[in-house]
Amino acid sequence: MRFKRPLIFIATIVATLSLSNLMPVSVTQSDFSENYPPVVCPATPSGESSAISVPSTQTGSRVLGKKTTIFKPTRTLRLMQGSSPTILDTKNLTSPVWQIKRGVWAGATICSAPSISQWFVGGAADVTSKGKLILINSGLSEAIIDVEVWSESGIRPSKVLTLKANSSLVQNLDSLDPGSKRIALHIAPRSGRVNAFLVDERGRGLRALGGDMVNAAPDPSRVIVIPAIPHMKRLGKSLGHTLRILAPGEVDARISVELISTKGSFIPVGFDDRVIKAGIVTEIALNPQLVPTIFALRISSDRPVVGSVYSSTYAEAKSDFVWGTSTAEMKEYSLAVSGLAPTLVFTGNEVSISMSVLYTNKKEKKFKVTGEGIATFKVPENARTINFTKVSEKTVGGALISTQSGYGYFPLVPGSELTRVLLPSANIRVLNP
Amino acid sequence: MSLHRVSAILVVHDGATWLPEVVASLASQTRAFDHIVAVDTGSVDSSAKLLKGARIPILTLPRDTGFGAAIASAVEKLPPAIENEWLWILHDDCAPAPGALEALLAAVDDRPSVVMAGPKLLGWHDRTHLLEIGVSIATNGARWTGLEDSEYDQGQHDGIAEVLAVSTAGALIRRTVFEELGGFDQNLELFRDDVDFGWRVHAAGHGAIVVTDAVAYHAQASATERRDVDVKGALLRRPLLLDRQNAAYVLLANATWWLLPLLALQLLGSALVRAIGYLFAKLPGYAADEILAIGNLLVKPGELIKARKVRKSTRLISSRVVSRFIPSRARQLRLALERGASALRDFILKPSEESLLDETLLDLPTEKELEEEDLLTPVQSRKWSSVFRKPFVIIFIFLIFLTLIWSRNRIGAVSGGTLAPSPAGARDLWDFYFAPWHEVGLGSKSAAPLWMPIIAIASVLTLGNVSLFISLFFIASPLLLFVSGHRLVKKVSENRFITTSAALLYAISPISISAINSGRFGVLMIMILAPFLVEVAMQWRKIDEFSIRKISVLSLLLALMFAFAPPFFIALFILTAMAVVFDVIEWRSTPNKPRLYALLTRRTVLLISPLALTIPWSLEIISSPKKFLIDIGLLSAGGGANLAFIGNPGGAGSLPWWLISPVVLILAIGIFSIERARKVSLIGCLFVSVATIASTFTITGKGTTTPNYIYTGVFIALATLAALYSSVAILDKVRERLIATHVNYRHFAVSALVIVSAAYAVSAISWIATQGPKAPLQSAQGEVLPPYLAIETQSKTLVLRERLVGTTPSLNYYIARGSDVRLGDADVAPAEVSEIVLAVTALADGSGVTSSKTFASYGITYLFLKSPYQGPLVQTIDGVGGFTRASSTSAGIVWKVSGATGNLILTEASGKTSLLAPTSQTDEYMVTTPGVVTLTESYSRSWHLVQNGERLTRIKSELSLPQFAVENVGPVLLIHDGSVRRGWISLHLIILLTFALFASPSGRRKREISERELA
Repeated sequence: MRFKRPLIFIATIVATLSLSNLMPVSVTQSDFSENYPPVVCPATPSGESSAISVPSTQTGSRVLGKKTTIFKPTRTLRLMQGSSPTILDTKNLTSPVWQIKRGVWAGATICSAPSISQWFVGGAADVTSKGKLILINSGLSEAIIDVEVWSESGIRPSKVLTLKANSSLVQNLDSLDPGSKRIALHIAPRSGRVNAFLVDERGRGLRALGGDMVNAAPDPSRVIVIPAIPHMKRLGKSLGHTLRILAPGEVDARISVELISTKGSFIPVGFDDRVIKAGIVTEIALNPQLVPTIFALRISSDRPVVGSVYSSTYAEAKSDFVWGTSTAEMKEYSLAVSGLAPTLVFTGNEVSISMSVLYTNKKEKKFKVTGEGIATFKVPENARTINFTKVSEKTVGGALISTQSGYGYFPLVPGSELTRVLLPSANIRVLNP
Repeated sequence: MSLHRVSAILVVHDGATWLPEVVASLASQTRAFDHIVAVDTGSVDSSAKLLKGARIPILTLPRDTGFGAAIASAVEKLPPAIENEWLWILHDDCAPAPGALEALLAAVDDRPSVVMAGPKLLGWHDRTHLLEIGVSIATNGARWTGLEDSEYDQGQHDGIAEVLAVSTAGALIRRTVFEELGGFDQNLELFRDDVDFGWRVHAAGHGAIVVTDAVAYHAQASATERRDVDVKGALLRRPLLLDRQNAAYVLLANATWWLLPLLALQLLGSALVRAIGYLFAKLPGYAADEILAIGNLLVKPGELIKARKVRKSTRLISSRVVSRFIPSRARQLRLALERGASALRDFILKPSEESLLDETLLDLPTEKELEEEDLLTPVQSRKWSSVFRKPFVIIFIFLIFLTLIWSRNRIGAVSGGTLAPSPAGARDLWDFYFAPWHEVGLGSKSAAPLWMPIIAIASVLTLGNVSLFISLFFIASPLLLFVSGHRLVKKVSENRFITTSAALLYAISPISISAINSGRFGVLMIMILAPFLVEVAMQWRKIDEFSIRKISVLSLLLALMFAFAPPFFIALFILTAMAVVFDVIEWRSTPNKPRLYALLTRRTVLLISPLALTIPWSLEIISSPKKFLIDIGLLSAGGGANLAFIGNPGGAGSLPWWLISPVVLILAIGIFSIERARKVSLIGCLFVSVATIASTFTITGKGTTTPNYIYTGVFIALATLAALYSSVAILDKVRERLIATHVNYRHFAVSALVIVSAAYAVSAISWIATQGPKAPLQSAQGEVLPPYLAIETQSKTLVLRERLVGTTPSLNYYIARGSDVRLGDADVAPAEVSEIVLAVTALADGSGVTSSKTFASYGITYLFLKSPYQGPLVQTIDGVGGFTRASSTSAGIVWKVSGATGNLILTEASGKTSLLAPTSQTDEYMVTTPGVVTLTESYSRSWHLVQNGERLTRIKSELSLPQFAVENVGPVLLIHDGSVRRGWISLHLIILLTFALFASPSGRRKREISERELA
């Protein structure tokens, strides 16, 4: 046959390519282990009490400092925290902590996984201050932590603290930078699984001025958003706010502050193109002419900044203050709210949040929150968990809680994120430069 | 009329062949001798008859009479001596020219101190061949003439010169001195008696000269084994044995006493070297002669002592007076080098037929010049500028520039890709090769690969600097590939444009680029050596006609290629299997059993010999056959099947897929082309198919548990070589063929081939110039282990490192032993230990609360996380416990593993563990309490712990580590017994030497050399 040779040739090519491409051989260069790291809830200082909202009665918990590393079920949806920090295995649900000094102040934060960098803008170290920095090492090795302190005087030399394995440390703020009225902290562990929490408690003589837990802010950036700031009146007079801001670099920052409220967005007088000196913690009084409401601040800067807002509150016949801190963008996650009925505040250009609320009676109800600039959602009293199923882009959120003991805020961010850890495999090439 | 009286003594021993001319030459002397006597030492031929016919008086002596005794007998028969009487010693194979005696006498006339004079000796057959102008002896016993091999006599040594001695053939010796010195030493029955006598002459205060106006033609019949050596002292009648024995005798009998030990050692050493040389030349008889000669002399010291006494009695001045005639070692070396260079020059500069025909390459004179020059003078000079008009030279120079651009980041010690950093010197490679235990991972007893000593030997070129050698090898690789490829194709076509272009494409083919960029010197070696095999492969069907020597040479070459690239064995197996199938088919059509057996035997030898020649390394490959698919060096992935199909192996440093080479196109066209291109193309296509299918699979090994696509570089290299050959075969004279035919598919095919090749060449060169320097193989790659860990050579460090494989992150680990990976480490890397795998995995996922304990059990002291790393991983390790941060620097984070760990761990009965402290003695440790000692190395039966001279009982622990029960306190000695390794190396050497012996060119006995060659 004339075309025998070409046909054999083509058939061989087809056979070779078919055989080689159809063979089920897969190559995986990397294996991952995915998990949600356990979260750490802050210790309860003496004279205070804490309650942790947990997603389920089967949520694993253990107390820091004990030898055992086994998690035991909480058997309750609202775990009363002891003096030692608690470690929770909440998986993908976030547990807020409601800490109060009965009749004096209240504050909120979230139990979170250890972090390699935490910023706190809040607290003072002057005579009025009873603030505390709580450092927790939940790892089984010793932790070495760098604590950087900024104040109105500038940056202090970095302080290195050593924390034994599986232990915690409460450091008074006035020991970090005595006399300073405006404090900003950066906690950067060199080693160890470290969480930090900041309690800002004020008093003048025997008179309590309130207190709050200052939530950790993300690393400095050029745009920060403080999503939930309660604006209140007492005796017909607006309670003021103070923006505390720090440009931790070496170059002054020019900031522009946009106030976002249900009535619209505007830049308050004196807040456009304002210079913030580098390395100096600056406070700017903010007294917007607003009806009692909740507003948010978006701060744009030409240099990375961190900031938060100190707001005086008066609710349920109780004066307190709250630190509204900047926070990261919201993601889809779940939040335990047992025993709390927070007001969720979402800030963004086009807010659109879908969520399902699981009630204590195990019923579930879906909600959708939409709005422009800012939107709020009051969580029902008997809610157990909220699952944010869909979150619009560039939306940040915060939760405000008002009780008879005081006012609290915590950011709407997951306490523990899914961590993909590469599983190692033997390969002598690691020794090849 | 001369005042001298000359008595000629002609010694005859079966010399009928030469005697007629000798007698005639004596008769035609311009100055006749006064007396003559012939001594016939029992000739069995017609010598006596010839002498009688010439009316020469004959003195007949027994057949075993030595030369000295024969001369002594003749002297006794001569009339009493007078003052100016001279003895003219003549051999029956030495014909003096007519004026020889006259010239000798004229020379001694005005030199009263000269008592020995000899003629210039020329060849018997080639009378321009200079044999001797005086003779001496080298300190190794060699007969020293100071002449080059087959030196042409054009009067360059003419004149009268003082010498140590002259040959007895034609020597004129003053009779009185001869008798005073006792004549020739009769212990030297044949050979070297001349040198001995000359030495004694000088020691007695006289002199010896060579007179080149006197000429004699010498057949050297005894030395060249043209007649039997029957003298009494000739053991086994072997001339060489007698010569070597006498040489040693002369040196030891005459030299100053304090030089004797050195001379004896030198004689013995040189005899051994020569014996080995003769063995390789397959002349065992000569080798035995060398050894027996020394032995025979040394067992009879009495003769030597007596000889030294005799010489002492006649010595007037120190025997060192002759030192100016003994060639210095430098002179001997210079002559040897000159001979070597001359042989090399003859080999390299042998003009090709083409160059002789190409007049443009010759420096031909102009007509005017011709008129002025002697037309009889042959014109041989060539214009230097003509060299640069050769396509080969032009492309070679271009390649040099391209290579320099390509290698601009490879100046210095290179590593990367599959190439680990090189050790400091060749000695490290030798140490590694001979070592029975390799400190790689948890320790390995694997045999080091054979390429290591080969690299060590080759690094002699760079004075033992291995890294320099490897760097130069990679820099020079494109040039070597070009030269090697061109050597093959220049035999296929005479069109140098085609052959050089094809060779250039070979040098910049996808496989060569990939191999160079990823540090695969094994594949490069295959590409460089394979063209040498093609000629043989073409005769694959006629292998039964191959000589044993050719088979042996081939075996060594195949073994060399296998040592550098194990996949080459698969290629060899496939080719052998194909050949056997064809053999059987042919045998069935034309039965010829002996030929079939011869074919099968040779094919089997060629298939098995690479394995035999590389044991014990090959045995480890056979025991784990997947290793046949892995190249040497670090394991690195190929690019998969589709890339392999287009002749690109893929992987790090390879060309991108869109840069398609003409390899497959050439092979495809070749299948439909002329016969010689078709066969080669079919084989090339076969290797492309094998490469494509093999590339589909993944493989692990060599210290890597991550699956990698098989790198099929060797198969693609062979396919590329086939394409090289085919392309030249296709394009050779294609223009003439295409012109002669109408436009058809061949025109399109050839056009496509040329266009694709040109496009590839341009794009590949551009890629090489721009992307090549960024390839994985680079110099100054830095170090993995920080210095503070590298100094802990006794500690094991588990190194964790995140790497990017393509764009995929991958976390890998390995146990370091105080250094980064070194050349050869990957080839002996031990298999992974499951306990460590689990412990490391648990460490990474945060569940490893016992990881530190596991690490401590295996002696891992440190955990090093190399930068850059993931933050969560650090927190995880910090969190699991059992690790204490030792440091955190830009290089990475180091944790110290908690608990007592190290090389030897003692576990007491209570379960308490402690480290055994080393004593001041090497490998000795102190046991302070009874218990079980665990050695944190992989288990091997060669590990021993010795206490009080006794080996302690060894068991295998649950963790597969060697354990020893120690009942007494005191020092213990840790030993790794390397006997097995030494045994394997010995066996390997025996096999290698056997093949080398058969492969070396056969020497010829002197009697087998034609007289024309001998002169």
